[in-house]
Amino acid sequence: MGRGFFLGNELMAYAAKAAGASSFYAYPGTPSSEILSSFQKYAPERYAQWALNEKLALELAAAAAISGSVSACAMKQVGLNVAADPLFSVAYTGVSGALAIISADDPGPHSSQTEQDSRMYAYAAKIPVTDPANPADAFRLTKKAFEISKKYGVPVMVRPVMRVCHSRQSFDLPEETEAPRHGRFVKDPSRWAATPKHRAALHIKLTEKLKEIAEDFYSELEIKPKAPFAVVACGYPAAVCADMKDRFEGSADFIKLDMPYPIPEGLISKIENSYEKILVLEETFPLLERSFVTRNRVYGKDTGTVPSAGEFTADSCENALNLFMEKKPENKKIYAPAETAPGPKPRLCAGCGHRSAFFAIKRAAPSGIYPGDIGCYTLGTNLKAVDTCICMGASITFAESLKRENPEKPVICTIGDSTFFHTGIPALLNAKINGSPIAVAILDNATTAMTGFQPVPHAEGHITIEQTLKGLGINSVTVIDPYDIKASVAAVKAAIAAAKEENCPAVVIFRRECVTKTKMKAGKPPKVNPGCTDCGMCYEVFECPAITFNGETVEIDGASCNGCLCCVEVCPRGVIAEDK
Amino acid sequence: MRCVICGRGGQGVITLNYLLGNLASALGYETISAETHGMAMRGGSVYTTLKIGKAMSASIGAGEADLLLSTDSGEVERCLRFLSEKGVIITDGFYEGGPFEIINVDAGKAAAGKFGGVMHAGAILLGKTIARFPEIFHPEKSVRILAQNKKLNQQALLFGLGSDL
Ligand code: SF4
Ligand code: SF4
Ligand code: SF4
Repeated sequence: MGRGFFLGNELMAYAAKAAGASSFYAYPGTPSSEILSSFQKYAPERYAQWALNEKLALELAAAAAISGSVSACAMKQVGLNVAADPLFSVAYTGVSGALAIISADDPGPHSSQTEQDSRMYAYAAKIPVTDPANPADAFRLTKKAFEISKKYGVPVMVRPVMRVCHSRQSFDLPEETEAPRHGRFVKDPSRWAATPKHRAALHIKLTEKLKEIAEDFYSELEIKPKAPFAVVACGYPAAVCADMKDRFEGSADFIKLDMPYPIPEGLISKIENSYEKILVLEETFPLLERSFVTRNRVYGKDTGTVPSAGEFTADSCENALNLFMEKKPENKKIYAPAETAPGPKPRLCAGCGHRSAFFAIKRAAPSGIYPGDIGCYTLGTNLKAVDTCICMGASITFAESLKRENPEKPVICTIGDSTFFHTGIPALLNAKINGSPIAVAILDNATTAMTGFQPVPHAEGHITIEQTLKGLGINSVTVIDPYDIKASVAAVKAAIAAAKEENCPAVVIFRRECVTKTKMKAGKPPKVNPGCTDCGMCYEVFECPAITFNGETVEIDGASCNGCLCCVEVCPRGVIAEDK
Repeated sequence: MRCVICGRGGQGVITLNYLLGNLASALGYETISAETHGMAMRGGSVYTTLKIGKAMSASIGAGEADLLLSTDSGEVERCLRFLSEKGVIITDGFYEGGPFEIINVDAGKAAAGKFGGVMHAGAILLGKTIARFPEIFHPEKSVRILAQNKKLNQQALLFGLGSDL
């Protein structure tokens, strides 16, 4: 394979191949999305699947590993919330092949609802977790995770953060990879179908195994104090800190721990007894920090030495080191304005069908409540057409309950096609059987756009959204092209009326492929006639990024305009017109 | 060498980061970079970081960068805090200010006018960067390595490398 400049996500996928994984399951989510597609690239002959959601992905991988195979699953941190149920249970049963669970965290957060720490799930579920510092480390620690899993028969988590997943590093891919390992299912009901009685026994076994794993993993780590202090770090902060070693060399020893849980008790007390004080660096929860018992000599998040929220950066590292070593900060010359204007906010692309769908929804029910969901279309907040955004699938449940609490208001929720299949289906069924008169807009762009255009369940013709809705007992279903704003407004109005009439959810499917995926232009850019009053409707409210106001009138950037002609309908003065 | 590459989502910041990092890696340097995907790619401000030479992480602190490479002069200011006082700014469009060496390049215009579209502005900026740091990138070697990249507009690259814009 040779040398290259690889993403952390690519190297974790390659590590799975190298460890003999015969199958890999995932649901896309930033920053984890490229792991499965990389596995497909490096091991096209092995089995890879985009599952409908993370719970399914984890269960599918777990069953393969219980059947004696080597398997893996990948997800983002909030996806692990969805998969938490099987996670806790499989921790007890263990596996007979090997199972690595890659859960990618997003401190910042850059593209998530929370900054939660997946390692806390490993801790709570009692499974080992490795915490890589950079892409090369991610390769090594993913392989290590499979090794531990094979040797001890427990699932093992790998927890990279975004700065590991989406870092690239020069790396030599090893030629040697293990052949994919397939096993056969061996019945053992006391394990695979354990009743509560057997569960207690499994729990005891697991606890014992964790002790062994901790001792085994750290058997080669020696603590040889040279300096009075210690900086103990794991994961990405260890990489940031390692690059600043010159600032504390001599006064503090640097100890990098690759597996924050489980940790041998002896190692913790050895570190405590060897140093006057200890700084702990990790993301995002003080898991390792709280493993120390002599709290008054341990510095980190709990002491405010390291910020408790937000991403760990070179600057926060330097600041923490200064506080810990009681050093004055260096006087650096920075030539930057104290404050810069906020950057342009993210927007839906020019010609995105979501934009006109939101516009139509608002026009159809200006006083409505608009629960939203997770995807590109969360950006409907810019158009004031998304009032809530909680988690995957919550648009429909929120619509049901908000309608019950606010019966006088029309409630129209928006959910993407991929999100609908992820967790929207049970939510819609619940709304149906509980007689909820809500309008549900399914934004069908035929891809999982936000995370890099992964395929959607209805892409290959095995199922359609309409068939699914039929099965859920939804009778009022309209399919509409959101570029046709007039018809879209009418369809939303009709859905609101039908929902009220039948005491049942009514669905509008806005069907328009993601233009950024297809790279297709819908037509010619429209022309701008005189008469613009700078009302801001097209470039501010509708916020098509191809339209700008030049001080006198609007300009349409021919290169980025998609030719969807929605702005023609949007301009109240008829200034923008089709260029026939 | 520490670089910060910035611009707006959709302008090819991540591609430029990849091209430069991959080139450095192919030249034999240990190289590490950090990208931002997801929400930030939908037209918002984006920046990536790149370290050429031995490093464990791509994180860059205030005042540490040697190069600020920008696909959009409007975004330069937002990343200025990273730049060392001896740092170099290479940007599309026009920027002035600070004690820095500034190389303004009308890359977008040149790409659209001469090379078939603004998407080739990155190749021009890449050429400029190689030309400005010959001791790191060895222009002849770089051109040979980059010639293997079929997606890269070679004319735009050479234009960036050679001529004064
Ligand atoms: S990527 Fe596709 S779905 Fe997302 S905003 Fe752009 S056009 Fe819309
Ligand atoms: S036709 Fe109008 S709304 Fe559509 S992309 Fe072009 S400028 Fe934007
Ligand atoms: S919507 Fe029409 S009148 Fe209003 S700013 Fe745009 S072009 Fe001008």
